[in-house]
Amino acid sequence: MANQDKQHKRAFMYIYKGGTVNQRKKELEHGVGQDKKSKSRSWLHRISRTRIFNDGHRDLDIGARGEGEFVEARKSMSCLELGSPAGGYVEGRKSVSFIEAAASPAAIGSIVEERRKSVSHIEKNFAVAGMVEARKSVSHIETLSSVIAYLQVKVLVSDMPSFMQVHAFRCARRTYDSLEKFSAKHIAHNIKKEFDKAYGPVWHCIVGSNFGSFVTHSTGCFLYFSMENLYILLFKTKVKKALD
Amino acid sequence: MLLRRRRFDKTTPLATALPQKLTHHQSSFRETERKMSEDAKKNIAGALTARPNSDDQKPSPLPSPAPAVPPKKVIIKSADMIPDMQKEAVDIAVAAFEKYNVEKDVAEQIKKEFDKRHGPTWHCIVGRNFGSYVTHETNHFVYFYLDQKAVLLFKSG
Repeated sequence: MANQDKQHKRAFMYIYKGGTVNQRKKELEHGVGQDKKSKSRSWLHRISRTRIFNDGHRDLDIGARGEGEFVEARKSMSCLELGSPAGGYVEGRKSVSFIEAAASPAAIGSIVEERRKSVSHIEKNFAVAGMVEARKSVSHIETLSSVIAYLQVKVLVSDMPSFMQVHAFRCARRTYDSLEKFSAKHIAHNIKKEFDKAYGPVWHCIVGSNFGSFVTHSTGCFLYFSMENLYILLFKTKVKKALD
Repeated sequence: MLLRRRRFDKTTPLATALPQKLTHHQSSFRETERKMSEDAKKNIAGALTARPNSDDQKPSPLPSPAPAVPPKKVIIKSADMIPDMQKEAVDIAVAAFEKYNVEKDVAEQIKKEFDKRHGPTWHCIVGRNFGSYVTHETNHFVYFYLDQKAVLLFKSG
């Protein structure tokens, strides 16, 4: 039993990393040889068998969720082009480690259940879209929903890839918890600086419990979420170079 | 090449830390960074802002003679903007508050008016309780109180 669980974990981690590598071939950080490809194929083959086993019980539920997640995956992928490759890659690693953390406190039964969901979901998307998109879908499901529950945030409006959302949630929660005396401008300062550093200029952040706004933002760079009784608005604008 | 950094209130401990220096590839941007916060309301005595112009204290006369409404109190908390534009912002805000009750509609009105008059891209925040940290173009930033509401208007992008 324990061995099977370990195997499942490895398999899951492998498929996530595979997706990352495919997304960033230009960086050439990891060489993908024939061996890895053959492993990938055999793994997918095993997935299809598992899928048949689960066929009767999970079609409707997983199908419905699949649609939603599929849309999310598409959005995320298009947005990745805007972000810097290095930043995105780093965030990818964080997501992986988070999945490990989330898995450890769960019961054995829950772990098995979670794995099955992921597996059958992959099968669904494989038929509709490319392999790469299917892989991204899996990682987003795990990461985004887990983080939202864990950090007690609520997303009100979002036009932003999942890894950036997670980054914002973590930054806001960390800053909020570390302040002995509450300071909205301190939270705004930390979030903006973090995003300016990670994803390039120029970001703007508004934090408060009572405000309205109307702004223009870059595509794929807007997030409005709530935490405790605070509302946080984070968005990016294009940079025009000065005429020297 | 002109980069300006302004700190609204040096008396608060959190504000004393020097901001991180810009990296080299950003040096050509004509941007300045500043903080705004509702906390400033409590530190009026310590504020570094210049005294508001007396002109800004008076909203423009109403277009039609209506039953007398007491003129709204205007306090320019911080500005990096030419005086004419400041006055224009205040006038547009006063008109917007008379026309709309929802804060985001007021913000929308102000932003669109400035996008039209002074070119894109402007951003506007209106509310009673918020802190912010933004980057704006030089000479295109104003933060003022209109009665109980704060208005943050700046250009970026």
